[in-house]
Amino acid sequence: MTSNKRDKSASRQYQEISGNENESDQTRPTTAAANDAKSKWLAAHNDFVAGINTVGTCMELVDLFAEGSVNLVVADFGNILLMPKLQAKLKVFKSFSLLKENNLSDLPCALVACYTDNLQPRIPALAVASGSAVFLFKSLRPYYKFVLPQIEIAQVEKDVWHKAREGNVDIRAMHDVLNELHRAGTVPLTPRSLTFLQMSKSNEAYQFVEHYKNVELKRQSCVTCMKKLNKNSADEDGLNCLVIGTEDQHIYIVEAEAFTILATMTCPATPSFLEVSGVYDVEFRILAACRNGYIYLFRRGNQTPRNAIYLNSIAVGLERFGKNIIVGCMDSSLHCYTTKGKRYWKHILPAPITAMCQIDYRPKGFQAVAVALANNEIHLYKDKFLVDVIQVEENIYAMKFGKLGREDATLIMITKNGGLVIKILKRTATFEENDTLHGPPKEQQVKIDVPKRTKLYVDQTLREKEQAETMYRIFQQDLIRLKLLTGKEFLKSVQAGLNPVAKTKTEAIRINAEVHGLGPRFKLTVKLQNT
Amino acid sequence: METPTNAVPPSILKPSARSIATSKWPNDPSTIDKYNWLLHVMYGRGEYDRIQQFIRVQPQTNPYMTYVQALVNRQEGRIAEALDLFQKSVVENPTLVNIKQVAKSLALLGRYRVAIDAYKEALTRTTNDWEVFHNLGLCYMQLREFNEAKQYFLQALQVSEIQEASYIALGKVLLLEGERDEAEAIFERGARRNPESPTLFTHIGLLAFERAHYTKAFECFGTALTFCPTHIPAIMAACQVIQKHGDADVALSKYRIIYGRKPECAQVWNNIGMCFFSKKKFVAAVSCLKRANYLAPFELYVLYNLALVHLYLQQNASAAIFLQSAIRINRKHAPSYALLGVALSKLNDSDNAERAYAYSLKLDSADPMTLLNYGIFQANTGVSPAKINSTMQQFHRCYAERAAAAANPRDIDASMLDVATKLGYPAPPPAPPSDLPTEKLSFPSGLPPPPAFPFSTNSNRPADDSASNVPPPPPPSASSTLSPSDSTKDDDPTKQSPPDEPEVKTKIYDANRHKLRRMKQEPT
Repeated sequence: MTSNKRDKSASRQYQEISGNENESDQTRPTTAAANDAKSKWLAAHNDFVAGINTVGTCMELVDLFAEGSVNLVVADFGNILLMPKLQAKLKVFKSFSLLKENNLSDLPCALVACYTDNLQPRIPALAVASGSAVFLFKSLRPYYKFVLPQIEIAQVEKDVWHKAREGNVDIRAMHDVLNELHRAGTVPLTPRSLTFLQMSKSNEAYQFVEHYKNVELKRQSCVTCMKKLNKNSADEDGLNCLVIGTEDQHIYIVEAEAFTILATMTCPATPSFLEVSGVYDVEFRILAACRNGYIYLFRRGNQTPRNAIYLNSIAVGLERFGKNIIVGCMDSSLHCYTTKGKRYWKHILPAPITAMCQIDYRPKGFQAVAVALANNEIHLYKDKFLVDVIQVEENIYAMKFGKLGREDATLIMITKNGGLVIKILKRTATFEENDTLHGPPKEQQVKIDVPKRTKLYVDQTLREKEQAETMYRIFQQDLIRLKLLTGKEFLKSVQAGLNPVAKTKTEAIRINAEVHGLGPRFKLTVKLQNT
Repeated sequence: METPTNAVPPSILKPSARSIATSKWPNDPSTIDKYNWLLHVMYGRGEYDRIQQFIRVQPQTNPYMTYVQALVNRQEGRIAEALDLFQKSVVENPTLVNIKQVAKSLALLGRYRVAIDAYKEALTRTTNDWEVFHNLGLCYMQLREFNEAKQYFLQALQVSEIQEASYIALGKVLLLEGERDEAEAIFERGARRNPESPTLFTHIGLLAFERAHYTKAFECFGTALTFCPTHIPAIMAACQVIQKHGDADVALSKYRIIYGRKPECAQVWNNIGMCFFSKKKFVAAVSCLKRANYLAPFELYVLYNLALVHLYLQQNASAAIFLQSAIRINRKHAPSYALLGVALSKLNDSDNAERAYAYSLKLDSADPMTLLNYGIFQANTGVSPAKINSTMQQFHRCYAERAAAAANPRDIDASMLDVATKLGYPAPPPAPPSDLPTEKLSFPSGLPPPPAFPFSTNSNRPADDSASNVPPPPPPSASSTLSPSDSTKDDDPTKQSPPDEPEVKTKIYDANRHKLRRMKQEPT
């Protein structure tokens, strides 16, 4: 019950926010209005209460049962704000309806459909990364759990906790030793020790040590992103490896058949998005957009990145087309770089980016990137040209383009409030390779609202034409008189020693007025004080 | 009597007290970082509220949560709180990222000295971070220590050659120091690296405009507008050129874009007003200029233009009052005095008109327009022919100089010569007329001449730009009218101010203006 309430208030709040955004958008540059009749997309499915909460990396379109019809698989977070209680689920859709769902043990961060064997028919397994493990599902049943390798722990730290287990818990000494170790910074501490160091009360720290002293000391990283890479053939249904980016700034390539780590790479920062191409046994490239605002490029055989691209902001989406990298940044800019790090172009979009996905429609040879914006629009960029704008009802937080069911070209969108929207690309649609924003901007058609003049004004004008001289003379006289008066008053106040603080003799109240600024906008501060 | 509750041990009332205390911590503390990726994604798409709520429901915090919370605070404008959290992060873990964030927050709070110290601390940890160098440059720029600023911007550009922001900032520093050539070179270099940057092209165009290279300037503005058709500074600047060519309709249609996006921009209203003026829609012009004046009461050129329009409408009293306000804002503005001379002479105040003309010529003795109007005024008030003669000779000399200097025949108004001829002082080398026209001259006064050219102040330059030239207002009339039968294209190189100039410059300008307000009164 309470959860429902919270849900609703939260969503109302979001709606308010999005409502405000809409208003401010009216002054923003304009985007070609997508006329329904002219739209290149058919609205196939709209379900704004589907209750799906996820990110783009947790959606997959795959023929899960090898029956020639593509399923949508979503790793759903549920309501993340009910945190200790998890509602994370793996949901499988057949065409537009839910076919099956499985519970997940933790919030998923990435979902990949991969082929782990060479058996026929080609039935893919689902790899779900969450926490520090990757769970493999075959035929929607849990099959294997791969845990990231443990990270080395400093011997001193181990000793400290070992002593604690033996019974002589000396909070002070522990704190000193661990703190020194932390300051030295050669080997990072385990999260347990870090939490311990943050504790200020010795009572609390004591409880903490008592609680944990018998638990094995571990330092383990977490998965932050995951993609797949073909192992030995470029076929779409070839054997796969998993490429896993971790919190401790590593990228692992893990073979999906027996889960052995084939390669480990070191990234200068924690990766947040990966883009993988090539074949593991031949040549491959990994692009990693990191939290520090860099994109690093890794190639086969190198542990360290070959190239680095500096973005001025952090990435919110990363796509690759051949040798071009398209990256959307938090400062509502969309950039295109070569893999060498040279920038081709940069667009400033009218609103912040909320999701991105690649559109690769093979039958028509159409490749583009879809960018969902916070002003409820989805922009389609083909190379550097904006070729289409789709209007949607809500902010889009996750998108995926591909086959669904028997449709070749569907765009699946998850909205901010958990809605599921599916649009199908019309078969007749053609995208022209010039800017739809070409031509004068919309504002140019707006009429300027020239302030009107009243009849009185016109009359006064006529009078002035006749009697300018008199009017001017009177004005000058009055002006001078006013100045004289002001001067006299000022002189009087100076002579009388009055200051801007007014005091009355009888009441114990002072009033002090100050004017800041010269107008037309100014600030008047009146201080009323009871002395 | 004892209450029964006293007998009950607390542990029974709160059976879970103990277990709650321990279950505060998850069983496996090794994975407290497991939702960092989600925080990062949510931060990236701007779900600030949700991040706060999410962190609140977490059983324990980790350093990254503190960091993200600080970022969210800063994004939402609570910079002091963000600084506290970032400082906490630095104490826990003095990494480059954390130090940079502390420095950035300090700079946002305007504590540049401390921010510089923090950035220098960051420099001990890295040598090739563009952001650190660029922000150091910005801090020094704010402190007006331009040498350091330049040095750091150059270092920033060494680290990353494509950064538009560094080129722009470096160019601005050079402009502030008055190094126009170097600034232009930097902008050009930046534009080669960023061939689609509207800002850089606008800057290059404005510099070209100042040197009266109008074709090049217009090309630059055009380039800027190709890549961003709604880039306001470029539109303002391009329209300035368009208006100069007298194409008020095109300029008006472009001003609509700015009007749509910044309806409270006084400069745009001023220019729109002057577009109407050149289309001879005087009432609309007055309306627009009055709105501009309402929005920016201390804008010299708005007042000046208002006076000009009122003179054309023969509302001489209003014109004189607006001119007095203009002079009050800048008492060294020669064209205002000249125009005041015209207005006052129409108000039959020839003594003060004489003084206004004289003062205007004292400030700028080389303005042919002022000289011509002065000559007409002298002729109308019956001054001795010798004096008129000397005025007109000076007029012809100045006119010839202007004409020689003007690259484009549009830049100077040849009709001034016609007026001079009609006055009895034909152009080429003075053959001083033996006798003066004693009878009053009268010219057909058709429609008031088209006109004037919009001014808008440029915050980069002092308002009293002596190069500015005024369209001739209808000259004074005592009992007769003498109006130049047509009028001028103005050749004022003053240009539009892009409304979003950096703060520093506006400040300089403001300071200047406030100084000017304490001015002496005009002769009345």
